Amino acid sequence: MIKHILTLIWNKKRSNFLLFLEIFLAFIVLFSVLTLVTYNLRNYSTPIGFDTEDVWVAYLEIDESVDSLTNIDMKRRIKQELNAFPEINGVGYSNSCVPFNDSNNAFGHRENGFRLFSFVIEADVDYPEVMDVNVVEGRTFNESDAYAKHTAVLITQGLRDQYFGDREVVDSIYLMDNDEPWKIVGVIDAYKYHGDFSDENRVMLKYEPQLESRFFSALIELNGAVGPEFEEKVNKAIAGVINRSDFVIKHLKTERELTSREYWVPIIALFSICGFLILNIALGLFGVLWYNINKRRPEVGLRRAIGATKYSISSQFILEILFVTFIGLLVGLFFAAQLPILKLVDIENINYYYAMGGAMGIIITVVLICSFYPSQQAARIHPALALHED
Amino acid sequence: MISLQNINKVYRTKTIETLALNEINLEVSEGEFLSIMGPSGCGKSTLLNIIGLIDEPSSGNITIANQTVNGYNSKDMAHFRNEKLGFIFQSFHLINDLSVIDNVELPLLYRKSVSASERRRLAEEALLKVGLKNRMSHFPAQLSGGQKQRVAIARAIVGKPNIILADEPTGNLDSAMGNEIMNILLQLNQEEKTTIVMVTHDESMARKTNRLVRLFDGAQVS
Amino acid sequence: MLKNYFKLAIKVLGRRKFFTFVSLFGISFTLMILMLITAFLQTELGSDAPMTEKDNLVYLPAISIKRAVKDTVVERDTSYQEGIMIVDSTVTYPERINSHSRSNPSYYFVNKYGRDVVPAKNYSIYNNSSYDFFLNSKKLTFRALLTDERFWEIYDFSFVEGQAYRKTQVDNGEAIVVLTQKACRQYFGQESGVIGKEVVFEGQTYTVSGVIKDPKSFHVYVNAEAYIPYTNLPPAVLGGTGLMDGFEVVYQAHTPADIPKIKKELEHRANLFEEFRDDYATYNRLEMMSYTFRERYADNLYDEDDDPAQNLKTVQWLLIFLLSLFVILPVLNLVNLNISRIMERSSEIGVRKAFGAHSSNILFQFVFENVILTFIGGLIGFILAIGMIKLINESHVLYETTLGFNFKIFFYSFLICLFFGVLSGLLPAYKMSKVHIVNALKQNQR
Repeated sequence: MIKHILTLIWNKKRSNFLLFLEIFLAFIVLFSVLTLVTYNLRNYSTPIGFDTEDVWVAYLEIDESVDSLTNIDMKRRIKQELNAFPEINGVGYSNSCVPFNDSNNAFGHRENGFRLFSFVIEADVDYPEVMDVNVVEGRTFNESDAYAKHTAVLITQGLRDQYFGDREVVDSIYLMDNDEPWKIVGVIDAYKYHGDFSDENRVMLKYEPQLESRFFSALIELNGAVGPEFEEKVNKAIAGVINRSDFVIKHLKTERELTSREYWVPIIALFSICGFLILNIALGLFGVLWYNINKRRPEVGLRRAIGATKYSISSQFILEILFVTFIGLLVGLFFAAQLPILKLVDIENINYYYAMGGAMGIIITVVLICSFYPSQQAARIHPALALHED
Repeated sequence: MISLQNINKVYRTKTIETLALNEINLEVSEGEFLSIMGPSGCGKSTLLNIIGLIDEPSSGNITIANQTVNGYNSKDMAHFRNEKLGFIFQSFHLINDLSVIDNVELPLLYRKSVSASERRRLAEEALLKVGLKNRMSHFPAQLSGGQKQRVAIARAIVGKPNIILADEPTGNLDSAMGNEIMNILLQLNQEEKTTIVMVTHDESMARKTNRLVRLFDGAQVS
Repeated sequence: MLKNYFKLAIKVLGRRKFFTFVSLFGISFTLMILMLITAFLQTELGSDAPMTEKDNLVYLPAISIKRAVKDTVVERDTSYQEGIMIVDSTVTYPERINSHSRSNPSYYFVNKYGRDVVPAKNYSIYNNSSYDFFLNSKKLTFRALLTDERFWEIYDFSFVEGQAYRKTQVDNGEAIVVLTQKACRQYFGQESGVIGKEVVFEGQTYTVSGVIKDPKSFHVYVNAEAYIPYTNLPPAVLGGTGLMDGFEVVYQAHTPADIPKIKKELEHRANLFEEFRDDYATYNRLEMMSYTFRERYADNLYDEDDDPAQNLKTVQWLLIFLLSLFVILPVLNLVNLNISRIMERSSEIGVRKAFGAHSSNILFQFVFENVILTFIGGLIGFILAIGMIKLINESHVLYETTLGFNFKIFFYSFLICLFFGVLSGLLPAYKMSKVHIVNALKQNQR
């Protein structure tokens, strides 16, 4: 039976070629889209590692003319004034590398005898608490870090897993940015500061009290939702200290949503376009199969006359189309497999495998659905009538 | 009008060669009504197709309307068919999606410098001759078999061809309708002096024509 | 002739309702998406106001300073000649970038190195800034561009009322502002009649001198809520001597052909730069990063390469690849359907040929029929696209960008339809036009 079907396909190779091409291209498109979607959704499913609910960030700048002692005092006074509001839980300082704002600061080298690459977020002693990071091992920053010999850092679990292996981590000193020895004081679960869809798990928080820097950011944690009146109060309070008001306050929750939206919109757009392509192909396939099967009425009549059952007729048609589909998928898989093999894009291989499976599943399902009705139709052809027509 | 010399036609596939026509020599004079008979597969349709320039012989010379058509390219042949020949088929081959009048106009569409109104006039004239002018805006599906064949005749004569080639024109019709079609063809032959070559299975139809040629296994037997 | 084909095409489409539906579904949806993409590209990268000069513009949004160190590499080649060891050593000094820093230039830098670049026709220096303020217990964030008067010569903004600030006003540091309609609506609750009214930013009062229409596309270096003479910036900003701050320069060339010359001149000036002092004392290289409008746009999407022209190429190829993949599938589908559909009509083709139609007649007829089908689909797609554009604009999926619809997009859509129709009709029509008459006539008519 199978050999018979293969012969049939081979003899009709020219009319099957277009079908094959269509399956092949549909697989490539689906595979690409599903890879992208799998990759992003897998990233999305991991925890972000910090809290954005009711957290604000103010990007601040202190005039060049202000001397360093006044600068230090201004920062102390901002915290003092803001913490005086009952609506405010805490204030932490960082540099301009604030979650969701696209700024980066990174280093990478092999000075410790193994490769190490990490993004660095500067944080003062209050920052971890304001951002509500989860310390899984060791401790968070404390007052003693200000006088410690080595700069204290908190590293993410992802960073530890990727580079440190069995090495001691907590309370160990390694050469980090600028080849300076920094001391790891604790491990936090994650810090996806590029947003929910980010894959970046190599991050460290570096203890940096922002004493003399002119540009810094204040992260403000609130007790609960407040209105714009309170935001105006905060704005005035800060402006009163630093003597300028050309700064903006952003809400981390909104920033997080906006960042995520930049991923959701293309994902949904791609999904709809893909859905349309699949529906389009399904309808086309259905039309072509239906027509082809009608054209082969005499053949079906003959097969029925010489003793083929209804079941064998319909399975013959379904198998024929499935074979062509498999050939298209095989060629598609060959090309798709080059991605994990050649490592052209730096993402985990598992994403490709999910996408391959998904794309094959969808295409086979669509083909089965589209061939089912026409082949049932073919099985119902009455041999006497069909033969008479010829 | 038609002159065939030493026509051979061989069909070749990878494994077998079939001799469809074997050394056919045939002269048809102007105004003649010739019928070709023979059993199924004797090559009579092939012969008609060769005369109609829709098939080419493997060897031999063809002269039609004083023109030697050997060596014509496909464009010349299309042009020649359009100007000089009219076709009638057993299964009518009307275009179902076109009305009767549009079907009849068809050959004139491929003729340059015939205006739309002129096409219309000629098509109506042709339909009048086959007695179907009142049906001109019907569609083929609304007509009986005999009426369809009459439309096909109108289509064949609308371009005023020198020769009409009819491939079993009565083959799909009952005897009453067949006679009707035969009468129209005879009338065309007598009144318009149109040369007609007809392939048929039917002895009674063939007997009404001027001359009868019989083929057997690709060769002329009488 | 065409009328005849047209009648037939409509008739055939009506008879084969399922095929027609499937074809129209595919065509209209594909064309809708292509039209949306065209509308998007036209809005973002087209030359609608204020970007009428876009092809002549070169931007200098950033400078990059680098610390290049020379490594000393000694290679020794040892060989023996007549039993004596001979050592041949070559010393090379390959360069390595040790550290680099990239940011907007300062006023000091652009004032000293960015002005009067030959062969630019015009140029404008500007800075951008944002302000939060609170009105009727609502928070507003305005972006402001602090520009010189030439900004208004380079961009073609249309004024609803009032006018742009002039050179004397800029030189005198007058506290005046040009607002967009949207900003007026937010600040004053009205879109016009605000000339002479006052707005307060940063505790400073500005008088409204003009109101412009909201541009449809949004580029942070062109569009803002408020435009203010840059001389209103604090003296510390304008008088500083640092290299990096928030400034940018845009140059307007006479023709696009002059753009490489402007870039070359900037590169030349960067090479001559020697003021590495204070914070930058350890650096020894400076680059002026210049982009054309398109390069700058592409650079936002993809900036893996250092060369903006290369990034633009990568983005373009990626876009072409994705689009062609997206177009090929529906075309293939349509070709498949058309082949089945045309097969049914072999008897018609046979008759036409017997009565004198040449292959090219047949080819033309079927392509024509397909083009008609495509145009019906195109029309549906066009209506769908207009609906989608409305939906996208109302939902603000693209933020500030408002997709427009104009004659150009209609024209491009027309071309897309024609291309699609011919492409998907050609192969089946060609196949059928080549069928031998005898075989075409043999097919049973059903």
